[in-house]
Amino acid sequence: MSSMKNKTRDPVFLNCRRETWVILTAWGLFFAWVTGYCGVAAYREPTEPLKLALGMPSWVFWGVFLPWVSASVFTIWFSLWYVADDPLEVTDQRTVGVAPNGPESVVGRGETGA
Amino acid sequence: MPDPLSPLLLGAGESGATNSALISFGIYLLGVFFIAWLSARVLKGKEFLSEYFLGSRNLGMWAFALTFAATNASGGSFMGFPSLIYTHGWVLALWIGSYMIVPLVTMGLLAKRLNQVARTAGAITVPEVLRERFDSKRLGMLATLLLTFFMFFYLLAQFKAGSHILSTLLANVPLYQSAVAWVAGITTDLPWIGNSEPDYLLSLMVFAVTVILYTAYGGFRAVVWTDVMQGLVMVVGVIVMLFLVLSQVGGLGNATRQLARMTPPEHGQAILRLAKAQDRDVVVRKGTWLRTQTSDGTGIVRTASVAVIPAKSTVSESVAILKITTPEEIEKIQPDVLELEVAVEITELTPYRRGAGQRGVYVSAPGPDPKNETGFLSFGMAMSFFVFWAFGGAGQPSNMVRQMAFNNTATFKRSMVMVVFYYSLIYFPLVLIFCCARVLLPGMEADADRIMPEMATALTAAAGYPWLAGFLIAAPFAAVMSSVDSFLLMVSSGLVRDIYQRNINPNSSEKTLSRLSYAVTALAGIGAVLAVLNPPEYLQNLIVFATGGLAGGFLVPMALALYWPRFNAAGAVAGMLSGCGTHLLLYIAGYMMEGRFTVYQFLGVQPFIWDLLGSALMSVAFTLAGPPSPDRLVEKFFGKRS
Repeated sequence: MSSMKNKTRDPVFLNCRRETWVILTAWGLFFAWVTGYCGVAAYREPTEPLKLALGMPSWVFWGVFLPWVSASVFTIWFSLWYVADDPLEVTDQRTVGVAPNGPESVVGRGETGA
Repeated sequence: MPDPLSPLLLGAGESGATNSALISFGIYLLGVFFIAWLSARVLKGKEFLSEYFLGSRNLGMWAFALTFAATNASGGSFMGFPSLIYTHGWVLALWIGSYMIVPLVTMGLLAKRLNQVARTAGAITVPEVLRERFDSKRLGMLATLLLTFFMFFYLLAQFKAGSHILSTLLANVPLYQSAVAWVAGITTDLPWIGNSEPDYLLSLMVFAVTVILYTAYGGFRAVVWTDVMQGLVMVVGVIVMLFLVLSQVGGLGNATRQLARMTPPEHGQAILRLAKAQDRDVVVRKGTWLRTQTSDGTGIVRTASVAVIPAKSTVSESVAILKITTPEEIEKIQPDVLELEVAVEITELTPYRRGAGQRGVYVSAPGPDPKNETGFLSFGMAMSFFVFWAFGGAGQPSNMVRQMAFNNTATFKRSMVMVVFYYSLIYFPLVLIFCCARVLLPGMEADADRIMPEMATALTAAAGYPWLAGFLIAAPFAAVMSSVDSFLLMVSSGLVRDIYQRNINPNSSEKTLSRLSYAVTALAGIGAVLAVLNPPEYLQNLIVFATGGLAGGFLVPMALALYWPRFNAAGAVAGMLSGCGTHLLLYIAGYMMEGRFTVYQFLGVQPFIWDLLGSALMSVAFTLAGPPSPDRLVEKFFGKRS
């Protein structure tokens, strides 16, 4: 049923929806990494000995800096290689462009501005 | 020869800023006006509203990426954020950590689909997208009203922030001080305005005239192009500061080890005493370092307000002070050399509610806090902020309108990469810079909002390039300007396009629309200036109120409008009203519980989370309870194209 519906759907919409699910999953994973690690390692007794990594407290390195680098690499991969090169221009019967003046020219042909 | 009746000034002198900082800053402003002039030339010969409010949907990679990034980086990024890092330490890395995923979420979640739907709808404003998607005038009007309501609060806060930043940045510039004295002379006796500080009034006028002129004159393209320049100023400023600070502090590891040994200072009150009364007032400047002798031994304090010892008297009234508690710092900090001997009698000391006397609090969570015994960042708030920065940004209509303006998918993809680098080069380095600032400039808790200009001045002076300070301090000003111009244009586009053209006079001529757009943009700015001539309190609360309300009201309805074919107008109205309603309710609860303008953090969680949940719940419930979107609308926005 769902695949039948999808056949009638705009491929740009389907691509965008698929990309959105990937984004939400990625956000969830980084959320789990950062809050999970920092929840354990950063909220400690201040008197515990300080461990450094690259000059910063080790919890910052493992719980913020490293996920930051990973998230950046992921975003670059996602944007350059995963996001589909969809055409965004309106080319069919619904061609509307930017309204020069008034609602009549804003909506698609044969429709009113309501 | 000094005037015998003028007060004798003692203590912290000028911090080294000269007119050269003002000259660098003036060059920056000239650049902004030049860009507005260029934009106005481009505007000629194009369809007015589309160009004025959306840049003809033709933004390339640099323009789209930098206007997006710069609009998001408001004054808070360069004034409030550094002040928080300085005050609470490394825990701010966790507080801002969500920015690692902000480019992906704020741009990726809606941008491509919103751009496509806006093109299909022929929409040039955010309310227009919703109106066309549901073919509902009422929804469009509701969106415009909510947007204008929250935007105006945001504008008020940013105008105040802009003038506050300018007066802070230029406080020690001689020419600026002369101008402030002149303004004081002409405004003191004026009703209402006379209650405001003259430096605030002068800065407000400079800031407002600059922003209103270039925004009203050049429209969206001027805003975008100035954002590009402002974005570059910000990122270059941060990188230069990072190199200077790491070299001057002896490496990041050295700074972090010193931070680990620090204990939070104590705020308090003291009376300053002279050995002998003078014939004229003696003024001890704010920020003056003074030695104290107590039963515990030698200490050091910094004045946190101006102290006046009247003529013929030996004691001052009570003055705010900051007492340093870290032994290494007490030894290292040298008191200011004064013309007269001033003794300090401490009358009151308030230790931090969290972290007092404890080493290691600046390098661990939740971080020290002077007022909150659970510390600066509880674990619940850390999780909340990871949601808020990413999704709160995605829900800002100012971001949405930019996402409607890029020219094609390739631009969008490359821009996202650029914003990744941009945010990574700004936000994480700011944490490093201002953690190091605790080591280089101790005692700034007395006036933490000044840490950015103070660091810029100190770093460039130590490096032998004092002229560079003017460029570095332009960064926060650029940040607030790039936010204000965008919001100003959104208010005027809402009024001109969504209310006047779409509802009052659909057949208005191009000439009428252009005149109206210039006038409304200017009037919206002037209205905001008049409202903040006597500055409102609770600046940060106003900003959080406005941004939270906008994101809470717009994110879920817009996302569902783009991705859920069944989503109907009733669901969208319910989602917007419940998102904004939850937000207002939490503020009303906060006001009733604390008697001031603040928000109630139910279960210790960021209120935005509740706004989102309320909005999502009502959107889905009302949609499922009613008929789905009409087939013609589903076909138009979701159907396969021929």
